[in-house]
Amino acid sequence: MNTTLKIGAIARVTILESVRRKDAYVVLVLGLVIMLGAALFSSFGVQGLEKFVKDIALSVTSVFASVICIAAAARQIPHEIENRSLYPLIAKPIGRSVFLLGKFVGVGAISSVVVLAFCVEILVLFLIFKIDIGVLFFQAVYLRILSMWFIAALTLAMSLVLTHAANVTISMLLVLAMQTFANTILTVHGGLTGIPQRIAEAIYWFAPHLELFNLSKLVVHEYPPVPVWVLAALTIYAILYSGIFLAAGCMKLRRMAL
Amino acid sequence: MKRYISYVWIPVLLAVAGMLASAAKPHLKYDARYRQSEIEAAKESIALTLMGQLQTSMFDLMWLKTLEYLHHGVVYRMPTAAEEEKGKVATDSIGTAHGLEHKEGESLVPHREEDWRGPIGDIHRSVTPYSTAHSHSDPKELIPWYKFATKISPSQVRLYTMGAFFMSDFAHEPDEAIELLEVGLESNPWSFEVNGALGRLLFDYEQDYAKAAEVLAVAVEYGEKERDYYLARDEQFDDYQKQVYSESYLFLAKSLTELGEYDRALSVCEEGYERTNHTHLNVQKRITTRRKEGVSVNDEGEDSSSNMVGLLEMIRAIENKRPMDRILNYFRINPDVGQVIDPTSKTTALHAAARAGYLECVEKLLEFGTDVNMRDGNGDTALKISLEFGQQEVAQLLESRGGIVLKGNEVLEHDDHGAAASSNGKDTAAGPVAASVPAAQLQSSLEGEITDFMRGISQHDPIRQLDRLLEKSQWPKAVDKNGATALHYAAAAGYGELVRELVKMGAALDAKDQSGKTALDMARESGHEDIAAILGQTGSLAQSSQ
Repeated sequence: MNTTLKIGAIARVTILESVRRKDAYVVLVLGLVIMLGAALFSSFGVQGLEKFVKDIALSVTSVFASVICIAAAARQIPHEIENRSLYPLIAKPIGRSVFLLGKFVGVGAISSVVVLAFCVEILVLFLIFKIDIGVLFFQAVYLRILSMWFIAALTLAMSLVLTHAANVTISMLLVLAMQTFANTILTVHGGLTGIPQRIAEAIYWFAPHLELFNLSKLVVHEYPPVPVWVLAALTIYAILYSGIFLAAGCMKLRRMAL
Repeated sequence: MKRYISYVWIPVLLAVAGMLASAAKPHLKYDARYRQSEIEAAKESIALTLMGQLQTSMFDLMWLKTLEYLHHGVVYRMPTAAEEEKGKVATDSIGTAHGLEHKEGESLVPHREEDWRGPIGDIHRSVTPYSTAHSHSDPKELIPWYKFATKISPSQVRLYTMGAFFMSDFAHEPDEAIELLEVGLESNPWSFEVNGALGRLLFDYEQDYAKAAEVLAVAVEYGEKERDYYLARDEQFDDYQKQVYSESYLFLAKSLTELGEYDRALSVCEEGYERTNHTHLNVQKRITTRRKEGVSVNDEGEDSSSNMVGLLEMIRAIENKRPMDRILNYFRINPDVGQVIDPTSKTTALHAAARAGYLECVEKLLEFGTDVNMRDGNGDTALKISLEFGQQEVAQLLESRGGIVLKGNEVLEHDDHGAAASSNGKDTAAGPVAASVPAAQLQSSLEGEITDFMRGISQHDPIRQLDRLLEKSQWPKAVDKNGATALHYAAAAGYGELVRELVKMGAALDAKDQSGKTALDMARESGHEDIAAILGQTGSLAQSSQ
């Protein structure tokens, strides 16, 4: 059994487990909530509703897809250790790195499916409200899926050093508050000088900039599509950062006394 | 079975709770504003404080969203203290609707030349709403957020009045605006601002003077109480409150005048002027007096102060492109309002409409008898103003109604982009329509009746020119100083009927102007393929018959 097949097998088990845990059904329920909510908004009966509906739908997708991804990624390894199901897996000829990569692929895949399911619901919603869908919307979906893999790598790596609760909290903060954090650095940077300014810059470079993967506002306010080089650069950025987190996670897992 | 029976209680309990809530609701209504002592008492309650903070936070979030929508999603920030020390200041926003005035801050995403992040900065500017210029979106888009905000913070009376303003004047949904204000009154019956705004809408849109008078009387009463309350606290109304307070008196007087309650209207004018010093109340008093005496405002046409009634408001309404039915109200109140120049802004209603590019309003003003060539305080005609502000559609309409470009005491021509050109002192004016076609150069040397005819063609007036043509059989063969014929003009302007008539009357198809162009060339260059087809077909037939 080669490495790819081993990773695929673990990923498949991860996906099946998520399906059994009914994580995916949450998407359907939330989608229904969006639809009902949007139906209520129609009572406003004024112009500007399209932007409003887009804003709500994309924000809900962004938040809930991230939450599902973090929840799925954070529980994987602690759950395996707690249930002692990790030991028979590692006893088989499966390396610890392969195990982590398999989990990463599984969480990334299930999160991508969640995003796509949300997108289908949004498309139906847009169809009801006769909202035009441009190239930018699909670019936004692509970057959202990319960010899911990024978040999966980050959360899996942190699950090896943090407790489950701490991991979920910090991951949530990184994902949902990164924009505010980055904006704060940009705001205070101009007023700083010398070492404090360098420290602010270092923090900015070190932090994973998940806010760059969010095109929701561009879609809502009907901006033109993003240049291809930006998508390419963000893909490389996501691969590099995910690679770093996974490498760090593999190193930690290898050294862990189980 | 027992298990299911227990669930039956849930809807029963919900129904009982609903009935209790509806029964209690009227008794919980508060018909006076919360006073400082009550607010202080509420601060002692942890539960109320927490709920209040949650409500404030939600309201702040809604307000941030409103600002985000106003700026096309671009987030701005005020300069930090350190930046202010370095000389950065926030300027006032320009061209923002009343109620949304704000300081223009810095874009949160730094401009390229100031950004220390290099390519990451470029990516950031590409994936987030960013603009080098501070601009505002269509205020209609803000309406859902206003509605949301009123749900979250029902005691913020300004939200109702501003939301209603956007709905009536920008979204052209006066019924919705009235509905919102009525909801606002349920939560804030004491508010003179909400009562005043509602009364104004009832007067303007519904023409329900009885109801407007009723609501405005409440606005005046509560406004007085509110003013006393402010004075007792050594505070003053802000500009908006002052405006609503004085306009409540004014529109109450207007409503009563319309209802024929002249004595009451006069006493409102006097009382209102005494309390607000609003000069329009004195003018309204004169109008009401005349109406009482059975004298039409027009009968004393020279009374400039009477003519001024509503002019400023009308100009403001036109500049903001308010709905036509609202603007027409000013005519109803004072039919002379379109004929006067506002001494402060030196503009007229027609000039304001021309500048704003409000085509429908220009049409209506002309229909109501406004002179197309009336001059503003600077001596400019509306056509000159429309060209200066790039309002081509309005310019075309004004020209078609005989408008000419006049500035001060001069007569101007303009180039094909509508910009004013040098004065030639003659009582002629070239049309922008002709100037916008390839035959622009033909415009410069038109003279006499024939040139007037040709100019008429270029001024989008083909029907009248066709009538004139039928009377003058020599015109199809006449040429101007540049060698162009009427057929050149008609082809360039795209008037098929005129082209056919000219050809029928013997206009030469092969006649060339000084630049060597035929009418067919002009039609093709101007993109009038239908005219080119007519001319091409006629030319082929002529050749084959020869």
